[in-house]
Amino acid sequence: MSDKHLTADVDKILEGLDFARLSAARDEKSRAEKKDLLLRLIEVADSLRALKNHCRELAEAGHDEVPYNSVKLICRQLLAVLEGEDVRPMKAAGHPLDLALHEVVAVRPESDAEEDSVLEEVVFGYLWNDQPLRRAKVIVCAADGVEDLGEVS
Amino acid sequence: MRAIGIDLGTTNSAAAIAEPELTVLPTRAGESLTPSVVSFVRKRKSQGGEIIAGRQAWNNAARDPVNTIFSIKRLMGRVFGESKVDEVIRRAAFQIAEAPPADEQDQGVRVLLNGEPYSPTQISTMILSQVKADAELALGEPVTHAVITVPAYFEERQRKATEAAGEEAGLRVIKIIDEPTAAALAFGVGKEEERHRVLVFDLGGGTFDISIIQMTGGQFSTLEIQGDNWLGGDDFDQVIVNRMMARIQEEYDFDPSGQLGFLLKAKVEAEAAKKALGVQQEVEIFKPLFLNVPGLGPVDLELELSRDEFEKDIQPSVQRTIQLVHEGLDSQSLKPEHITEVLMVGGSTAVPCVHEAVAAVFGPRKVKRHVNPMECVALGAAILAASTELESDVMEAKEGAPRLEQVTPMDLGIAAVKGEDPDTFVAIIDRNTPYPLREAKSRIFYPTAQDQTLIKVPVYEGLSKKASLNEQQGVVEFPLPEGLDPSTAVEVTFNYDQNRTLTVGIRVVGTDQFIEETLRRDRPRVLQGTGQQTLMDDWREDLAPSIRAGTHFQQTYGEYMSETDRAELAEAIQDGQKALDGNLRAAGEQATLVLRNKILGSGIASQMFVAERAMHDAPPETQQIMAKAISDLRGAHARQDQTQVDELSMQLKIAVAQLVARQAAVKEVRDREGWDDLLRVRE
Repeated sequence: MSDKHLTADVDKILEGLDFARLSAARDEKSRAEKKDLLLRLIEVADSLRALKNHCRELAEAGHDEVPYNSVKLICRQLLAVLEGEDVRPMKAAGHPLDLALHEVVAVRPESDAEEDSVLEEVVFGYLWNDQPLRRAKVIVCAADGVEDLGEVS
Repeated sequence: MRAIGIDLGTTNSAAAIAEPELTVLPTRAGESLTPSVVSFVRKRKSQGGEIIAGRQAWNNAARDPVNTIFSIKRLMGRVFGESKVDEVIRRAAFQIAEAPPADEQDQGVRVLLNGEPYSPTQISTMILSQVKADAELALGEPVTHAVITVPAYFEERQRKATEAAGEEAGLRVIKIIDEPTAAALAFGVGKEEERHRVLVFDLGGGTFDISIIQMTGGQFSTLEIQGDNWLGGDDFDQVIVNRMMARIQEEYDFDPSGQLGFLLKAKVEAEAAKKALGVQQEVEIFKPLFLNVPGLGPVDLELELSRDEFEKDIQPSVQRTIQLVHEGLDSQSLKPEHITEVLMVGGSTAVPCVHEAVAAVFGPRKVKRHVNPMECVALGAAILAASTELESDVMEAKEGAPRLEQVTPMDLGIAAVKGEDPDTFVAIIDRNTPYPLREAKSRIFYPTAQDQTLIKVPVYEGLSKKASLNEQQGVVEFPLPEGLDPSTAVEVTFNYDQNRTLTVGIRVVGTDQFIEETLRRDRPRVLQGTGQQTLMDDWREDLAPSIRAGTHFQQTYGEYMSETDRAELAEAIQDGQKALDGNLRAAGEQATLVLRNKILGSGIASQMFVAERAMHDAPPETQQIMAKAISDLRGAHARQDQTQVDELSMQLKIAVAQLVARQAAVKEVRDREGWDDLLRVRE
């Protein structure tokens, strides 16, 4: 086959391909894969955070052999890696409820807190590029007169 | 103009487009599904608030479970007191109340949001509005038209209620189609001329449906529907959560079922494990410091779960689905070999033992899983939406578009006397009959008395052999110039068109005595029995009384109409008269439609009109109460007190609905006493 024919055939094949769409599909796939990885990393961050809190309690109880500082540093190290990927913790506790970011899992009366402020992040929320990567599951302060609704299924 | 397909689901809804590419549209939260949830969000330190739908409503559910509505689809078109409504009342945290039926879509079930009653149609409208708004955001242009899917077992009034919700959400509803039909379109089944008989196996999060669809030359018709409203993937997740709890109990002698944090995280882990077991034989759930055990502090969760163990636990649920498959086949006298394809729909069909169980029944080659089971219903609706010509007023299918032939979900028939029982339901069009009918269906009946001069045909839809237990669609009455002998045959004919309009014909066999009446079931219920009567198919018989009624309405109630309504009514009267004078059939039919819409749809003017008509047969004390209500309304209108007008108008509407319901009940009893106007069916 001559070069001329080959070029024509290749051109014909290329004409049939929508590069913009292919490129968008590739970007979307890569983004979905990255999101999946980040979600797994924040699960590790959850575990480390729980370990850090446990170590702190033990250290405060006088168990000096517990490597609380080391665990704290590893935790910070992981959060820094995540931040490098534009992933940030929502830090919902103490802030007003935002239904776009927070899923309420319970309400609780609390005399010192503002109505509808987040009392506790049961599952920590994270933003990725300022969009929710994982919504926070939160307990909020009940309005006056609203009793503790307890747990939800 | 832009058309989308919408899967209006029990738990989640989704929107999709077919052009330029078949795809599900992301919501503003970046998800493919919108939770079918509506919630009232009160503002801080105030009595006020707003109603929201979708993801944010879901997020508010635990904050205010009483004011958050889930699974409204289970209540669409339902009547208060039905067992299915009772089932929802038992399970729901929100409140469900009864209200007087106001029209065909509004069957008396209300859900309460912040103490205010909303019909299921209104709640569905809110969900559809959210889906539409998100679709517009994703597309960057307004969405004007939609194909909306409903379960195949939905009855007529449930379909109408869904259609009304779509229209209220600002969408022109191209078509309401069955979910399994949409799934079949997405799977690309039935494009060829050859005949297919497809079983759609739809196992979602909380519901299970199977449908058998027949496709011939691109035409679809649903043959059989089975299901379980409370069976789905949530049951599978719970099995894994139970194993986690058992493990913790065994390891730490602690019952974690009271720990909210644990339950939330366990559900997420269970979903992930279920998904993993779809592709691997064993999964290791290893969660360091997963929960706090009193006295021990944070403890780890380690659980190895094999696919065999998981599948053993869910066997009862899987076997239940297979049992329903067999029941569906049996009721159509079909065997598995008669099914050409099985389409797997719904996220829970990804569990291997589910498709293995289905494959064991039908053979593995017939079981199709190549379209995302969570998205295929919305995608199928989008395919149909894209194949409709939107530019013209009458939305027509584009060339090559799939032709959908639907089936009647219930029997359609009449009440007749059988033996000594005047409450016998005689089906004329059987359930699962494809429509539009190729030819009208008829049955022969006989007068019940000597010299009977009135034939009364009460029309019902339902499956009960007792007419009064079915849903009345209207009553056709045929006054005869001369009495009939009980041996005279009377033929009752039903026809059912593509718009689900039922035409009832009554013919005295061997004579030219014939009447035909069209039961327009999208019309308000208060009009039943006074519907459009067409004698010998003469449109003029409709128009002339409509003009007279319109003129009377204009003179009596004109001052209570808006300027626009008044002007449109006057124009319709003129147009109608011109059509009568010039013998212009199409213009005449259009004028009749407009006149009736104006008489019945002009706010408080129509309410007063209907109320005064309904009062005629009421007891004197009721007449007095109604007359006072109308007089108060007139007074409030004269004072231009809009708040009072709204309040009184609502009261009057409820009073009329109650009166009409009472009159209908009284009439039913009276009919049974004097059943010589009914027809007799021979035993």
